[in-house]
Amino acid sequence: MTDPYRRLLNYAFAQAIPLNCQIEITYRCNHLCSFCYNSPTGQREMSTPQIFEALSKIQEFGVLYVTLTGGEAMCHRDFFAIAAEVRRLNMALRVYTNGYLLADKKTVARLRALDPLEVEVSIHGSRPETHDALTRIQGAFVKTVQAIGNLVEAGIKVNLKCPITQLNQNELFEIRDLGERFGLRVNFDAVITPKDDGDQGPLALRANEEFIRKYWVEWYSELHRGKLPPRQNHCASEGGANCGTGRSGFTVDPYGNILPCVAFRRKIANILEIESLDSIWRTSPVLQEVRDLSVEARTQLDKHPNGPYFTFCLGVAENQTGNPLAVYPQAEINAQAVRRHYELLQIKDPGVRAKSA
Amino acid sequence: MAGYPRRAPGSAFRAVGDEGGFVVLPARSEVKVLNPAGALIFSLLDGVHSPEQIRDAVAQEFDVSADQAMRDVEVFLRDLELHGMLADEATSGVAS
Repeated sequence: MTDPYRRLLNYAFAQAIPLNCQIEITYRCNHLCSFCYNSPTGQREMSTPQIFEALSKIQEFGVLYVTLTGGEAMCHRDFFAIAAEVRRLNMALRVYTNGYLLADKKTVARLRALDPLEVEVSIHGSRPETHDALTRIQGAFVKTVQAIGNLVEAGIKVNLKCPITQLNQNELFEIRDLGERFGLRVNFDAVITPKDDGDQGPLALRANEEFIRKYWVEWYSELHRGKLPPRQNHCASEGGANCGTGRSGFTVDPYGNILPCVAFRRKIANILEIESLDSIWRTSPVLQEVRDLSVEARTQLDKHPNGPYFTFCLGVAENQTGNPLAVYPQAEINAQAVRRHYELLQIKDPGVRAKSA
Repeated sequence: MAGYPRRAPGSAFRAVGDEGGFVVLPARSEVKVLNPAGALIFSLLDGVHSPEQIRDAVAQEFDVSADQAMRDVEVFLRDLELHGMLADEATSGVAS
């Protein structure tokens, strides 16, 4: 029997009732990560009053969780005013950050006063040489680690995230151990994406194929303390769609453009130019197409030999191949390797489970 | 039941169709799930609706007697208080 939380989440997913919104409040950043996917266009970013207007529309729409991200969200000069507005509107606050500015305890105290639900910090290595090489900021590692300690000490829930690259692929266990010293788990991400404008440059940094296969087949469970590799997207739910794009949430970029999700960057509308999100959520042809594509992706993957093992992103597919339904190399490699992991453990094909459910 | 009950300050609430609702308590890093009756009651905890008005809404929506609805509302409010989902009396608003 499904637990009440999952049941309600499944219902919201099936009915495309969005609970989450990510707002990229600025593309400004104090890091220079070589694999960053942001592609600023040079347009004028939303002013703080305009961000407040956007937040008001998001709140009226009934969104539960607002994630402030960037760029580096904390580089916005009015970050704290914006975060406070999220909370004043009674929405739960999440912050994605590189942690650099949270090395200062007073800054952490200001954030703590807002009761953020969680703060997600990116960590790129277990040593300064690795982290600083990837962020291209000397001293970034020390500050990020200090920030993690400060946040934990302040009682703020912290998630650690680590995109796997060629530079850090050989120290994942040490990165895990670093997280565990603070009582935290690290979420590793094996997919490096192209830039939002299609520039494939960041892909040159992705971990090599041999490593990725070993990561999924041999190391994943040990690295994650016995956890099995995921067999579907983290934002997926029951209901036939591949993921939550344009369904369980949406993204607003620094210019006010509403996108189906952070990865699938098809413009739906500009939040400053619409009366309300209600007015577009059920009628936007872009959203309808995206939702249909997500269902179509799942249908196609179900026919693929490795289908039940795919974590597949339509946005990455479109960005890498021009076709949101095309299986891109990283997804294929991951799925093959995840399947091998399950076969070695003699765990039944989850496709069988799905059909009998 | 005294006053006009109000949700815990800072809590985030979303009704999900007629199926229930989610309440996020950021200060406790917790998410609670409400059934349809709970979601209706929680939506009315705005410091403006009295317990009697909430009772009437429950009785009408779920076709139960006023007495039964009042008992359900009282039990639910006590549960909410136990789980830190209700504003303290001192911070609870009184309708003017």
